[in-house]
Amino acid sequence: MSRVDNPAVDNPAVDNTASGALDGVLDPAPSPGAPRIRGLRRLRAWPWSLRVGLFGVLAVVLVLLATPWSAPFDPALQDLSNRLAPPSGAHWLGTDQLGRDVMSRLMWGGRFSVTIAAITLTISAVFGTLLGIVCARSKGVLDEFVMRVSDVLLAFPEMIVAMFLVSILGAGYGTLILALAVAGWTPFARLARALTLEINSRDFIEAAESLGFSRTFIILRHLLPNAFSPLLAHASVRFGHTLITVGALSFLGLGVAPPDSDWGSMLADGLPYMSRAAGLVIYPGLAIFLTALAVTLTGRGINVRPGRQGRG
Amino acid sequence: MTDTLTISGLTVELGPPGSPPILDRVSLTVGPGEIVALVGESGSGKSMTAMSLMRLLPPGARMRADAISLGDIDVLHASEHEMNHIRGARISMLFQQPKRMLDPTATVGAQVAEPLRLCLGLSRSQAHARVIELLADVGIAEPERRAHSYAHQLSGGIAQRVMIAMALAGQPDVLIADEPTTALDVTVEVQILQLIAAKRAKLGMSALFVSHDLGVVSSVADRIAVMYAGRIVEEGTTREILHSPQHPYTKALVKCAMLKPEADGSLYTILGDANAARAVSHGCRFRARCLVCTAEHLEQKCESEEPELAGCGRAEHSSRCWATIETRKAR
Repeated sequence: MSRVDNPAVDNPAVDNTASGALDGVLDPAPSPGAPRIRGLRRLRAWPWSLRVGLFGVLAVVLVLLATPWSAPFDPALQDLSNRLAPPSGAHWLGTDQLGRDVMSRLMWGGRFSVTIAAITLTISAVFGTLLGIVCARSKGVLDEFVMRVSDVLLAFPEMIVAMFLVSILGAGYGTLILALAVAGWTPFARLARALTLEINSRDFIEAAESLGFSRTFIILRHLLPNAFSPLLAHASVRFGHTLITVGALSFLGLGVAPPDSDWGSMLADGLPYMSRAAGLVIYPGLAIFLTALAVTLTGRGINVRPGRQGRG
Repeated sequence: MTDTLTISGLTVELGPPGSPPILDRVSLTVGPGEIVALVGESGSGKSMTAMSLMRLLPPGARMRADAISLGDIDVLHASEHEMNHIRGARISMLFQQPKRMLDPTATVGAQVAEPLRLCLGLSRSQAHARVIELLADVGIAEPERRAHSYAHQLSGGIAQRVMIAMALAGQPDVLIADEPTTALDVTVEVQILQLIAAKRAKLGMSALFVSHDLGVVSSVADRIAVMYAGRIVEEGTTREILHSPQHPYTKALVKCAMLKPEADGSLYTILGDANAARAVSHGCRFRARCLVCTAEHLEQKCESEEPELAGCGRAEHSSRCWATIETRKAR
């Protein structure tokens, strides 16, 4: 039993520098420069998905912000003599069934689509997450009640729930956002609840408890950051879904109403003319697809950001 | 001299009522500046004892005790809110898997700063300066750079040093170390043990070591309490436990820790199953695996009744075995 006779018992003074130097040798060297250099200087280290996604999102946001000054035509200006025109020098993406400039309409429509989808998603994500965490922590009547309500909401397609609410509350942007948020919080609540239960059982939560941190502090500083990645991934996937739902509601006259239009309603409006002017369907569809893709890639990219999330 | 930490009659039950208790009337004291080790095999209840002290038992556990106190603080009856002020500030804990004890999403510096800002109310810049100090104190080279690392970038030894820095940030009176070196390799293990011993001397705190390895704790502990099946079977100074163990279980543990080959070249093992001892409702829990019991013809006594902890020879050395008691009587 050599340890019993360890000289350290008699001489507990530890040579900090010596053991520290030893640790430095035994230690895997942290990737050079990774920990300290922050922000844009780390751009090279960003995964491609984050770079591409963020570029796409920024491009979309910039174009939509600049629309009032850069759109070539008034999106509502009709020119019945020039209906369903193919792309030309004046109308880069052609005209629709009423002779309106498709590109201008895409730009203005995107403002509605993206704004409504973003607001809706933010509300349902924040509300759903909070509710999920509260449910997981309380585990009582409240949990039971909220989860059963979410069961009911999940039993119906989201569209039906949103349509039902809009038809009761009346059309309008406010009610549209409210309806979509009410229909969309359930997956976030479910996910946040499951994540909370899982993360709560992890060791570092126990360590935080042993240091006397309050529940609120542990939730804010240790639980949320660890639940953030999966929630963000879910939110980024849902973004495209929400874009389409907004469009579908508009098509049914429950969302964005003429003379305003969004990508979804343009897609729906163009459907009857698909054989004569495929662009009317392709362009808004492409806009939805590319925007959703950019957001999804960004979400994915944030999740694989180096330095975050342990590998083992 | 009042004890820093006092536990008396701690009983913890888990599962359906009537099932054998996890801890059965455990009593233990830790004096000022003393390191006491709680030794036993897996499932003997040593970690449960530690968690009871922190009042962090798993949900569903029922805890009873005559008293648990930390100096003049009554831990047993403190409210959850009061406990949050006791944990970290008066009593801290080290755990087995240091890397899993660090939040993967926060830097080391941010995590060490948390107890400083919350418990001691330091400002952001004060806390940062103190973090660097603390990290340097626990022997971390390049603390400035380390403060920006994440848990997955650390080795186990460094992670445990960070945990020690966090645990000591609130300057606790007692440090509970629950198998702090089990996940580490042997060279790092010695460094960590020495570090804790050095910190104890410097800060004048007490420590409760929980371990299954008698060899590990014997190098740092002043006193050792041996647990078996939820109760303390022997207690004494490190020297007495190692040199004149009284309880057959302790004797076997010491023999195991020696790592001396038997005549046939194999290492000594304790036969039997420790978990079976939980179901024993009366008599000595260890008797099924005990060699002394049959050798000394004490079967009847061992089966009918379990002895209390009784002094054996020197002061502060007590054991829970009929054989020891009988020998004392005979003298």
